[in-house]
Amino acid sequence: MPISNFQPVPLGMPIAERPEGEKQPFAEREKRTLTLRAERIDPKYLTPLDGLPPHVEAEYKRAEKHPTHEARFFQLEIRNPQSAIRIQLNHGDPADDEARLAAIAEDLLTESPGDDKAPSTAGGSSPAGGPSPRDAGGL
Amino acid sequence: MLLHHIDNEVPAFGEWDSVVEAGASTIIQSAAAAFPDRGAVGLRVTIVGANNAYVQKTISHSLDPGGWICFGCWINVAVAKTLYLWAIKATDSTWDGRLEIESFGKLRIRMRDDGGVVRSSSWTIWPRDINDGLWHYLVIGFKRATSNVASDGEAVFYCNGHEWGTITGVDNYDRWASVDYAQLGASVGADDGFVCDFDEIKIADAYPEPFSPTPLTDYPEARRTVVLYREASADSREFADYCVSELEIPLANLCPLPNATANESLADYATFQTEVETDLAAWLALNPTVAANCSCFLLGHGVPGYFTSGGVKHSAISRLMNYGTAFSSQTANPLYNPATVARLTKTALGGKYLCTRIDADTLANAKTIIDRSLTVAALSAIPAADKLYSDETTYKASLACQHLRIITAALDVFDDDAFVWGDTGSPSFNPPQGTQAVFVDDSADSASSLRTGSDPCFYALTSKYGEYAAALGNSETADTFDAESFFEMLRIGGSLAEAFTVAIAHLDYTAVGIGSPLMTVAFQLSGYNVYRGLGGIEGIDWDNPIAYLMPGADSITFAQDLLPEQRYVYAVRAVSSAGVRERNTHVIAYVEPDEQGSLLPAPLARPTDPTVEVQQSSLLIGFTYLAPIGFAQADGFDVLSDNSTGQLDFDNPVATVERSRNDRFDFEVSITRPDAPVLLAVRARLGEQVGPVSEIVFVPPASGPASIKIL
Repeated sequence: MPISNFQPVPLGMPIAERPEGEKQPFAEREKRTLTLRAERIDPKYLTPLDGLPPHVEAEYKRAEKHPTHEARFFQLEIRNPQSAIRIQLNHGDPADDEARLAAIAEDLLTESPGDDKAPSTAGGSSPAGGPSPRDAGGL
Repeated sequence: MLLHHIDNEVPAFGEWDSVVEAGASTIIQSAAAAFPDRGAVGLRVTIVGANNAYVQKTISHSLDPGGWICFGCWINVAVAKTLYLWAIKATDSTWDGRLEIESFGKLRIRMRDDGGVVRSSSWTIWPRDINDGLWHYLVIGFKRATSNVASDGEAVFYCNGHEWGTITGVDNYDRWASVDYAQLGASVGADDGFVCDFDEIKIADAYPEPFSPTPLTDYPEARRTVVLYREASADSREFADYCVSELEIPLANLCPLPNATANESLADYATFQTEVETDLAAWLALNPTVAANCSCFLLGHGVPGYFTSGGVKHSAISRLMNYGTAFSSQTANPLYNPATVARLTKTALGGKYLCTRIDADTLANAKTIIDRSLTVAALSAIPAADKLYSDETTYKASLACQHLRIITAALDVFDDDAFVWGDTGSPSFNPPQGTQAVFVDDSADSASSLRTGSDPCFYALTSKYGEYAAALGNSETADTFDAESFFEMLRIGGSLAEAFTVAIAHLDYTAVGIGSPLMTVAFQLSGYNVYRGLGGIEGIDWDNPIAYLMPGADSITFAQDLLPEQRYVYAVRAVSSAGVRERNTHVIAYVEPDEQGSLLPAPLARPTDPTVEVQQSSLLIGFTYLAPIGFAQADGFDVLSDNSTGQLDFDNPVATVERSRNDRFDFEVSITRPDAPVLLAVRARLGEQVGPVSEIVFVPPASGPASIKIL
């Protein structure tokens, strides 16, 4: 990602100093396990025995202060399927980052490319993969 | 209403809320991905393996019942794969709307209804693979149903400015109450090797127009030109893009014709409407900004160029010059042959349009016509050796033609040819080849096909024969073309399309103007201007020359109506190659017809500075004679005396002086001093012609006290 004229900013408050019971911004180098909703995840990614979402851990890497916004950079580690994802969150309340990261992880685990390529079921549209109106027009 | 316009110019993805890159896949802001007509950077997605890379924008937009939300962007796919480009999410749900590359050339939209059922439809939008290296404007729109029982939700897909199709009858009232966020890039189904650029993203509650740059002037220009192309033809699409790269036509000004066939000539006007005009109208309606700016159409390679009406093969360009007005064969062109030729702004066009066509037997030859137009337009001036071939003798003898400062010749075998105008029959082009700017054949059927055949215009444009940059002919019955208006428009800096417009007598008829509408031609500016005045130089109208000479010319023949016994002055001033007219006047001639209309000779000037010096018994008379420009040189002078009568004796000079040397300007002569006082004067003489008398000198009597003085 291109980096423009920015200033590093301090990472979040040290864990020991946080008030309890509130949403918290990530602290410097903090790693958190994200809580995903099983119903938002493709079943094939759920654990076979108990149907739980896969373990997903987010690490707060750094932050940049730009004239227009603050960018916070995270590394997401997903186990099964094993993958590493770099995420940049802009704007918003840093205290909401955990929820935003969880939603992104759910998106990434929601479905595979072909899962929704079922034939359409109502009028006005053509079956997936079938002739389209333009095809029918002979173009 | 435009909800978001993301041009990707804010560093560090400042216009987006999230950036997600998995594995080695990347999404970057890159100059290489910038949309050509605006901004410096765009988004480039590069997929490695099955790892997603995308950006996400929070929308948080509530949809009213029956309300729409649309997502538009320019994309340029370098390497195509089957994956999702857009993913739209309603509140707290999985995806609800999507745009997918289903296969190379086929795009699919999907929409989820309240029951979670996916509705979808796909369209083959490109005649070849999507990774054609060209920019395309894609818009997907989603409509919320008007009520929870209406089942009238919709999805719609547009590509390159026209609607490809819809999904209708969707029960989506509850699910589409609001739209939470949108993902752009490869959010699902990433496929190894996919490379795509995205830019100028617009999110709106109605169809968002693609960015089209504001015109720089009121005159015809690239930004006011719309290129029509046949969408089903890869060659036609490529030609349109060539207009973008070479003529700087904005990408948003390319109008696809989805219903156009490969036929160059259509059976009737109704078919022309179906294949061209109706889709053009729909496209302009969808692009009101471009429509408001547009003053010129260019019918691209592969677009139908003719249709038959009333048994006559009509020209498409002639029809589109009258676009917006009901077709009526042989409508008089209100812009034809104006009293004063002036540039055609959109206002001056008065609702009419400029229009030209570029077509040829091959794509390469069509592109070549554009190349030639650029070559011609880049010339600082047409070479002095180049000619205008024409049999329009009246025009060639006119002041307007002189003003072109170009050599003219009769229609013949063409060499050193810049222009041809007339009924050329079977034109023959020989080397040396001239600029070959515009070829005009005003005969019937001179341009009845640009793709095949042997019409004069086809010959002139096809490199096997002529290599002209532009042509004007007739599809069938000959229309009337006015040479003077045509060339005058080019001379004042007007474009080819403007020149065609003032030169073609009728709209909705048979004239076929071919070439880049924006091409200009620079004529030689240097030479000499000839001016005329009544009386003296002060009577000259320096703003309106009466003749123009080419550089190096030392004579010109032109007709003049002169009143008898009126003295006219003619002057010549040089004009530089930059068109700057000098202020000095180097050549002046006086012309005066007598009662019978015969020209009188050039006048003699008045001798100046007469002096008389007494030398004992004689008088030494001196004077100067300088013949200004426009006056005749004298061959001698008469010294006149009043012989003490008080009246000069013009018939009996008391002395004469011969002018024997051209470099001599001061003269003197001695006469015997009379006893009585006398008046003396001098006049120039040329054969029998005598000039005006100098000032008179009074010589007192030899015995008197008075002195010599000039009266």
